[in-house]
Formats: sequence, structure tokens, C-alpha cells
Amino acid sequence: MGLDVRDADGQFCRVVGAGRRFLALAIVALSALLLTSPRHIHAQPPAPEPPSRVVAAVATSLAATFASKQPGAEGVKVLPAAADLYTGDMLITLPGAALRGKNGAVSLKSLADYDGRSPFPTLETAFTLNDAKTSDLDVTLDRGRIDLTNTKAAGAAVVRVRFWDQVWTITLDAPGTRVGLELYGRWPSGSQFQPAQPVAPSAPRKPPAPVASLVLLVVSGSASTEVSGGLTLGLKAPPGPALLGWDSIEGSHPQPQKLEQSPAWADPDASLSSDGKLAAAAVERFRLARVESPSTAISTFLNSTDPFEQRVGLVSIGATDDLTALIKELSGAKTPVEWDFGIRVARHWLGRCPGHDQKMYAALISPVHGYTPAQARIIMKLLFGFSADELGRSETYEVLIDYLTHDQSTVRNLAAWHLVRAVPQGKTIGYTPGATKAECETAAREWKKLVPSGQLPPPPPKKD
Amino acid sequence: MSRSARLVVIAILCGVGVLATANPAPAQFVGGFVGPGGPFPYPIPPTTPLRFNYGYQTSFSVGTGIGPTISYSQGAYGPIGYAMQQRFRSPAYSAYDPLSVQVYGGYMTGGVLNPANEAAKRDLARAQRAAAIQTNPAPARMAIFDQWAYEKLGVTGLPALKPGQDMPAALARAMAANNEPEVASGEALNHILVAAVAAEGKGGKGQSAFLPPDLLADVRFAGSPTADTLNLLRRAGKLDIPAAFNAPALAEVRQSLERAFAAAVAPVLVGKAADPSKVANLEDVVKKARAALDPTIRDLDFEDATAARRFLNQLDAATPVLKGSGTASLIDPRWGTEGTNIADLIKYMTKLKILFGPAPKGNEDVYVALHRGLAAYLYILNESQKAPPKK
Repeated sequence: MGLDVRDADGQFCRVVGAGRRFLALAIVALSALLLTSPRHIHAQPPAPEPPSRVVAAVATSLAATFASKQPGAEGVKVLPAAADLYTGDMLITLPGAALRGKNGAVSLKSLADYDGRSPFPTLETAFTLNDAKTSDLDVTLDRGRIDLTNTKAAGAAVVRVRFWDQVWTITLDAPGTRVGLELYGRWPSGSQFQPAQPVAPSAPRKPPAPVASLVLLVVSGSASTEVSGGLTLGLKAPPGPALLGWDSIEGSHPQPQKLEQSPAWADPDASLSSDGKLAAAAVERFRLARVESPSTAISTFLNSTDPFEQRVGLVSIGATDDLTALIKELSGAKTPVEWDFGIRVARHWLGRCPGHDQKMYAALISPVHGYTPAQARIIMKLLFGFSADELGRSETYEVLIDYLTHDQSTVRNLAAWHLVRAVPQGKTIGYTPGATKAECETAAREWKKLVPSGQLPPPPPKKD
Repeated sequence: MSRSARLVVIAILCGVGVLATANPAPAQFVGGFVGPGGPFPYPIPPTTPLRFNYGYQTSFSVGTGIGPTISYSQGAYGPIGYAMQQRFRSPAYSAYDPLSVQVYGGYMTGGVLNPANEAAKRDLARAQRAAAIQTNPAPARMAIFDQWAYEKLGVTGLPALKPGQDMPAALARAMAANNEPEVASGEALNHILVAAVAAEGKGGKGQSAFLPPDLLADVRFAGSPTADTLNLLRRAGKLDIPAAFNAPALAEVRQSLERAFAAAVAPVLVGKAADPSKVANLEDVVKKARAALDPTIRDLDFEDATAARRFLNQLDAATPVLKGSGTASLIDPRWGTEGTNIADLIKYMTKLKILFGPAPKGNEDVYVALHRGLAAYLYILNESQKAPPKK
């Protein structure tokens, strides 16, 4: 059973036959193992092709109510009336923007909240349309308020709504059924900003993210909603189970909330206050300005002396992700409205979706704006705000007062913005964005008298 | 081929097979794993004369969603490791009651209390609770609303400790508090403290729970400059100097602060009166530190800036207390070695007119235990007043 061979010295040596067979088996086994190892079975799949851009809907509202931003593009394009709306484009809307799905079954309308009645302080609405293969409309809601209406002659209409990591299928049971959705994201007060660190690929760490919340309200008719996870909930306009909630921490709330009557925010355009009407009028003027000159409308309104027009301009630079202009507003505000509202828009922009904090930080330390990393971290902290715990410490106020005389006007503006909110009595001290160094030092001294070192601010006077 | 050669070939092929396949998840081979049902032990290669050595190791990595991820791992081996894994499998174990953790010091287990083991168990329980808190935070909509209200309205009033209000409803809420967020601020403890003082004043009497040194070390006081001073002193005279003072320009200031503080508090820590000259020197050094810090404060991160300000404010608040009379009784040296009990703690706090401050971050479990002890003591005091006098 052996094979006699001669070795190098000419001596016979016997290779045991069984050993050769065993060696052959081993080689076969090794080859099989290598061939069947995962890296050979699962060849690298080809990169998916980007979805084709098709018309998903048509605008049915006035010209310049829609602005679209194509994926990867820098600027936005203001759309005319009856424009085709393509899949994949981020559609940034003015209040009143409306569209009809390509099969005519569903209409979508973007709404504003001029009087601040809705559950969330939305400033603008934006969404993306997707190719509706298995529904009448497929929309990815990025932020703000949209109302979906079944415009079929008969029968139910199905809308697929995507947001964050959720995919909801809403069935609008009958023609005329109307459902409103409002999505908003925010960094909780006291959030700590951390510049992104390089993370090893194997590390299962999730970067911090703002908190998002969504409400769905059946305004009229009845609808069913299949939420992510397969649960289907029946909803009905008030009186009935009309309200469904979701947030990015706890997920969807499994029980719809019963409402006896429609809340005031169901129809935000109804019974506007005088300020609400002025704001609506400013938005309409902005729309007309965009029709006439899309490239200059925002800057015109930013420089307007009308506070409502200024606010519209500020919201627009946030809505169009014009980070350069937004950061410039933080330092270069010229009026109290611009100072106050500009900071609010920046805070809103930060909380819109994950990653905006890092983008803001990167922009601050870029050569365009030239802040040092330490200054940028201070600005990020001031934009994030303070927790109740931090506001309960005297040192917070000391440092905010220190920041009133900071070299950077952005820091001064943000510190003053927080001080007048945390210590309302300090409004009498007054703050002028763009104040001189001497004026800032005077203000800091006044603040130190109001809030001495080591002490908390006095409680606000009770209103009679 | 000889048998040994054959075995060598098999071993090589097996090794190649392992290398050629995907790596297993590291957690499975760290020394045990945490899965449904709890941590599981594993036999590890013997490093002792024993053939096998039970080990217990856990590691947690919790994404908070807000801020950095918290990671924690710990291990214990040998009989202690076995005891710990048995402990955490036991249905009687309560993650929220470290004082009820069973002592493995009896003759059956053959050992004595191992403080390191106890501390490890508490650290683990603390990490577990941190993970639980992060998965069940305040509702997201409140987080958004809070920011919105702040933007529009500012704060209408500051959150403040509300001690001394012996309101029945507040006391009932305080007694019913049963988790860390509810007791960590100290407010619930203060309501019970005030009620207990009142009950003692009405003649209530009873036994109270023992408070070990390591629990006492994590109690913070508030409500007066004396309380702030105590918080400083009770760190055994070692100042926790903020990072702002690590700057080269402030190195000398840092050293001066350390020396001056150590000299001023040394007698107080052993139950003697402070030396007025040393306290005056500390006051002077703090003034110089503040002057040195002022030009640099604007360049510091907010957290570093507030920490530096808070530190100097605490030292400023401490010097008048150290100058005053009664410094000899500020610190009871026995707390660090023998501990005390709830009744004596209440007596101490009443004498110094101080309250409970917020729990230090990461040590909220101490306040849960303290809350239980206080609540039990108040109950006993109230019951003792109800019991009819024996004839």
C-alpha cells in the first residue's frame, strides 16, 4: 500500500499510501473551504443605479409657491405655475403651495402656522416626491405641514409618507378625506455639541441626533394608517380617534388620541390674527417678488424695513440651506427683529435633521467665516441652548455676561439673546446688535448689577 | 504519513478555515456576553492552579442619541465572579436597591466582604440604570416645546429647590418617588427631611438605617454657603480643579490654590478649628486666581468657563464659612470610616441648616437608597407617635 521513492540521498523511503490519500482529501477540503467562504459567495454587488427622475405630480398653486432643489445641486429653482414636479427633487414650499399626484387621486397642500397655534413651531415646509409605484402618491416629508386630500371621484386613495426612518401608508377612505401631517425636529435644550470624530468602521456608534416629532390629524373623513412595524390604526375626524403621534425616541404612539373637536391648528388659515394677516401678506409679496426676480427676492426681503418681510427673508435663507447667509445673520444683524429671529431660524435649521450641527460647525471654522474651533464650539453651545439644570446655576449667567464683551459679535448677539430670555427684567438694559465695545461693556456692567457673581437672577416681577 | 503529521495537517487546515471565515462579533469572545436573560459566565483559561475559573464580564455601549455614547465594562473572576453571575441571575436581585445587595461574607462562601467587589457591583448597577434612563427619556414633544417656549417667552421662573414647604401634597409626592430622575434633584429628600424634623419635634422616635461611608461620600448638600463649603471639604481636602486651570498661563495659580486650600482645611478635616491666617491666605489666593482667569474666560468652551467660575465661587463662599466659628464641627471624621445613620445625618443637617443638593452625575443610585432610608425613618417616626403609650 505504499509508494517507494528515493530521497535526495538516494535512500529509499516509503510514502504511506494512506497518507497520500489523506493529503489529497485535505487539499480537496481546503479548496472547498476557500471556495465556499463568504467572500467568494457574496461577490460585491454592483452599485445601484440612481432612480430615474420622473414627473410625480403637477403644481396646482400659483407661480413661485414651489422652489425645487435637485439632489447634489447648490441653488434652488423657483418654479412657475403648473410646473411638473419631479421625483427626487427637494420641494421647498411657500404656504399655500399645492400639487396633484400624477394620477389625480391625491392632492397635497402645504400650510403655514402664522399664529403659532400648531403643536410645533414650524417655519417652512419641504418634501420630496417619490415614484409612486404601489400608491397614489409617495412623499418623503422633510419638515413642516402638509395636508393630503383624496380627490378621487370614488373609492379610497393611498399615500405613502416617509420621514426619518419611518414609512407610513395612509389610506384616505373616501373622496374628500383630508389628513394633515406636521413634522418638526429640534435639539433638546442643553444638548452638548461634539465635533465629529473619526470613528472606526467597526464601531457601532450612532452620532447624536436632534429629536423629531410628527403628528397626524384627520381633518375630515376617515383614514387608516399603517405605521412602520405593520400596525394599522383606524382614524376618524373629530369627534373620534383623530390624532396620531410619533417621535424619534419612542416611535409611534400605538393609541390614536380621541378628539372631541378639531383643534384650532387644523385649519391654520382660518381666523388669522392681525399679525397673522400681516405675515400672510408678506409671504404673498415675497411670492410675487420671486416671480419677478427669483435671484434677488430673498436679499430684498432681508434688507426690508418691514419686520414681517425681514422674517420671511430669514426663513427663506434657512429653508434654502443658505448656511453662509445664515451665519452672517448671526453676526451682522442690524435690527432687533433680524437679531432675534435670525437666531431662531439658525436654531431651527440646526434641529431639522441629523448632521446639520456638524455642517454648521464646519462652516463656522471654514475660511469663509474664519472662527477658531473654540469660538465655533461656544457658538454651537449658545445655539443649542441650556438645560433647566444649567439655567439653575449662577455660573451660566456669569459666563453669558462675560460673553457680552466677546471679540466676536456672533457670541455677543447669542449671549444677549439668551440673557433677555432667561432674565426678562434685563430687557430694560437694552441690547443693540452691532453695538460698539464701550456700549457692550456698559451693558455687561448693568447686567452684573442685575445678576451679581455667584447669584441667580432675581425672579421676574409678578404681573398684576 | 505518521499520525502526528496527520494531526498537524488537520490543525493547520482548521486554522486556515477559521481565518477564511468571517470574524465573530468581538463581544462573544470578550469573556462572556450579555444577552437576553442577563450576563453569562464562561470558563476561561486557567491562570490559577484551578482547572477552570468562572468569570463574569459585561460590557455596555449605549448610544444616547444626545451627546456621546456611554460605554462601560467590568469583569470579576474566580469565586467572586461566580458569585456575581449567580447574583445577577437571582430573581431577588434589585438593580435599584444597592443597599439590599446580598453580602457574600458568610461562612458558607468562605470569604469576607470585598469593598472592590461591592463597588464593582454598584458601578454595574449604575451603568444599567444609565442605560435604562437613556431609553426612556422625557417625551420628545416636551423637548421641542421647551425650546419653543424658551424662544418665545423666556423662562418665567427659575427651577429652584423648594425646601421647607411642608405641604402634604409635596410630601406625598416626595414619599412616592421611586426612581432616579425623581430623587436626583434632592427636592424629594428635602421634603422628607423637613417632615422628619417636624416628626422628631413632636416626639417621634425610632431606629434609622445605617449609611455607609461610600454612600455618604456621594451625598451633596445645598441651601447655604456652608453646604457648598462642606461639598468642597468632603472631597478629603483634594480640590477638583477645573480644566480651565490646566492652561500654562494659570499653572502657578493652580498650584497656589491647591496649597492654600490644603493648608486652610487640614485642621477642619480632623475635627479642629480652622487657622484664621491660612483662611485669609486662601481668600487672597482666590482673588488672584479670579483676576488671572478673567482675561481668558471668553476663549474657553462654555462648559469649561462655567466650571471655572463655579469653582472660584465655591471657594469664595467657603472662606467666610472657614472664618466663622464652629469650623471644628463642620466635618465628622467618623463618616469616612464608620459611617452614620439617617437620624444622625438629619441632626447634622439641622444643626448646620443645610439641605440635600442634587446628586452628582452618575451616582443617582445613592439618592434612591437615601430616599428609601429617609422615607422609612419618617414612617417609623409617624408610627411611633400613633402608638398608644404602654401602661
